[in-house]
Amino acid sequence: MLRLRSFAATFAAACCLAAAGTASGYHTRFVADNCNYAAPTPTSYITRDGSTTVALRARFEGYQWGGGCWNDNDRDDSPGDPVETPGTGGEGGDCSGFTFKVWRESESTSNAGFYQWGMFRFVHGPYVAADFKNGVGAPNVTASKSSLIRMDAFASSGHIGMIYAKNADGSDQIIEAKGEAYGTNIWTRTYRGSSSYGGVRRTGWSS
Amino acid sequence: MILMLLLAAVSCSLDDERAPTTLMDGSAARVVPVTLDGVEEPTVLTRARIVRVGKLERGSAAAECLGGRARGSWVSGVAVERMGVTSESVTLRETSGRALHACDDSPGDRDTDRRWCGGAYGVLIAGRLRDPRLSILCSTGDGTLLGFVWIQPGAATRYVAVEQSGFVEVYETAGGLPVRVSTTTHVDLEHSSAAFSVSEHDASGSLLRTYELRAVVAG
Repeated sequence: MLRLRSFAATFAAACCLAAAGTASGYHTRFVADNCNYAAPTPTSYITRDGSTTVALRARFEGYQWGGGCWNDNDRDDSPGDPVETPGTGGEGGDCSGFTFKVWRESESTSNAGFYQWGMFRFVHGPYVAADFKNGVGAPNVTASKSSLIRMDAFASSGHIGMIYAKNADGSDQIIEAKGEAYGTNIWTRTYRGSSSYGGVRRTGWSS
Repeated sequence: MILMLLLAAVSCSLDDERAPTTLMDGSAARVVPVTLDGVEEPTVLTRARIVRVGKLERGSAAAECLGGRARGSWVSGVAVERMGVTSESVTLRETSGRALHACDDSPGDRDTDRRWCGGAYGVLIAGRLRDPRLSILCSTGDGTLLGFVWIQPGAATRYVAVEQSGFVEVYETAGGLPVRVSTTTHVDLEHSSAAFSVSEHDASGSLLRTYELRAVVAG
């Protein structure tokens, strides 16, 4: 903290502000009781099938701004998180943190290697949706939307979702951590046709 | 001999307590024109330039932040270009008033030949950010991670002071936009977080409030 001289007339309120939010009364113990900061396991390759499995473990597990970690019990164990409030300790990831974990990336932006993060490992990673959209970081590259396939992603300035499958009509099923009111799930989305969204791909898939 | 040693010791002490004298672009750092109440460490005044989005100069930081994107349609009003000791930023507001955009830069390495090492997008609710939009993608020349956030200053705030290592970096409010600040202290890569020691002062330097802002990478 800044060293303060003694002052007479000016009232200074020393306070500790978490990131802006209105969650003063809301807090869960999901992260505190379940999650850890264990080191990831380096792996020599990743496959789209493998990452799909990683992603499906987070399905139905909720959403946490700045998160996160989850337990694969097909239930949001901390529903009703306040919007855009990271300190509430709830279950789930946010869109960019979910993508970071599914794509098994390193916390170092210059490292394109593969790292398996446990479900209970609380990690978000250094990227937000806009960073993915711009292909920032060694493991992330922009790609034409027409070229995107399963486990590639559509990203806007404020959101990212990964392709899970194609519907019969050609539309995309997207697996995404959508928001506090929606959790993490699979929905049909029209991101491919939206000018707000660009294509992004994780580098190095083996298959 | 003893006198020489004493002089040397005093000189080293003075050097340690001097704030940086140049900003990231090599320009001379200015002195804060008022005494900031409660700030004991040496201070450096960063530079802020307000530019009109509709009249951006080619090659200006704001123009380079917008890059090839269409100008004048989705952003309007003013942009604020800032230059600090180890950081540079641009802040713009969308014409809709619903979001802010920032471009962040620093002297450090980056994965590709990008003009900007980081940036931010922040949704405005009733004109205010819910989240300060931390970015930790940038680093100084020696590889130290930099954290950038937006500070939403109080109505009376003229100077936002942010603790650095050995000095305090001071930002003037400008353009009615949140102030994009940076720090090299307390940036935590493992937890994707950073903590900023901040004080806000009015135009005369009087202390309005002091706080620690903790932010995480999110969204």
